[in-house]
Amino acid sequence: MIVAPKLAQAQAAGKTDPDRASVERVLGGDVEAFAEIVRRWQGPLVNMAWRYCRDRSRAEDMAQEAFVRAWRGLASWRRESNFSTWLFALAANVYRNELKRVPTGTVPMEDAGEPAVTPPQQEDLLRARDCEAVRRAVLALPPRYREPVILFYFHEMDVSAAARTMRLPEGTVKARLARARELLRRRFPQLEAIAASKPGAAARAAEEVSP
Amino acid sequence: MKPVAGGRQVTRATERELEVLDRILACEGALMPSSSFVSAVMDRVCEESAAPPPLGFPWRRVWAPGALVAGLLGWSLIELLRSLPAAADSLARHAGSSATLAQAQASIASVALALAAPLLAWLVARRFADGPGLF
Repeated sequence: MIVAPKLAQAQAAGKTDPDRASVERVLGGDVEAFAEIVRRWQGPLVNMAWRYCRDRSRAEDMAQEAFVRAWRGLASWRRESNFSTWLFALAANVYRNELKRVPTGTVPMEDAGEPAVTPPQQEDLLRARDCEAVRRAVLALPPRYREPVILFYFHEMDVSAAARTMRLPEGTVKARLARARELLRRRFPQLEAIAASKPGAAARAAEEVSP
Repeated sequence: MKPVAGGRQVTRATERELEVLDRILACEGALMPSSSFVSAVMDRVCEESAAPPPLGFPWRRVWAPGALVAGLLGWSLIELLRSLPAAADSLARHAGSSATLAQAQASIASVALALAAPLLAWLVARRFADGPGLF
């Protein structure tokens, strides 16, 4: 199974030097140099978009739009910040506006499916379904709480990276994350049952789920 | 679950739920972009780079009529300010005539209505279009 590079590896691979060199070439008139930037960052941007909408084709459309906006505004990248920080912030802005324009087809939080009590032989399969229910419930959160959750886990639970992408103070992001978790915990009170029944079951179920 | 030390047990339960949430939301499979993604992006980028630059605002064509309109407005304002004392005198002289006063009041009312109607229509349209808020 081919797995897209994790975000941290992508960031390590796409350090400022190759990004800076590509950007300088693009600004010098070499349009094809932008393809290097797209190849380097297509994975993270598509994955970020997917977390926003959970629709593969829409995620690719949104990521495509983000790259085009990046192309238009490339000259506005201030070299003191990482290229990835600038790119993620731009992409988050594009995705946020796109979802305002055409909201995702999610059910309200109150109507999102609940984890069920299951017979033992179907537990693993249904835990995978339950995990997906939790992920979809994130999309049903109010926007001010949804985006911190999406970006926090996208950035591999790095609050400061999420705050930089959202261009918000870390304290604000932490507060919104705490509130979002409280809402999710209230919506899924049976999560404790998933955690308590088998050690590591939730992690196994989570790992098994792939788009 | 026995509520022996209720607070500690609630906290432990909350921490387990948070860990489960973390594991569920952090352990997502990664999506692989389609093979045509890069070419699709570059097609759009090349299209934009080949397009002619947007037209700038035609300031040179606009300044002459703009200056004329500004001059007319300024002249109208000056004339209005000049005629205000004379109009006030005239109104004071005719204040006793109720018919003149009523006519003046009707004119003021119709002007006020003509100014308020478009504003009201705009506010209603914004309300229907975007929901709460004026802007």
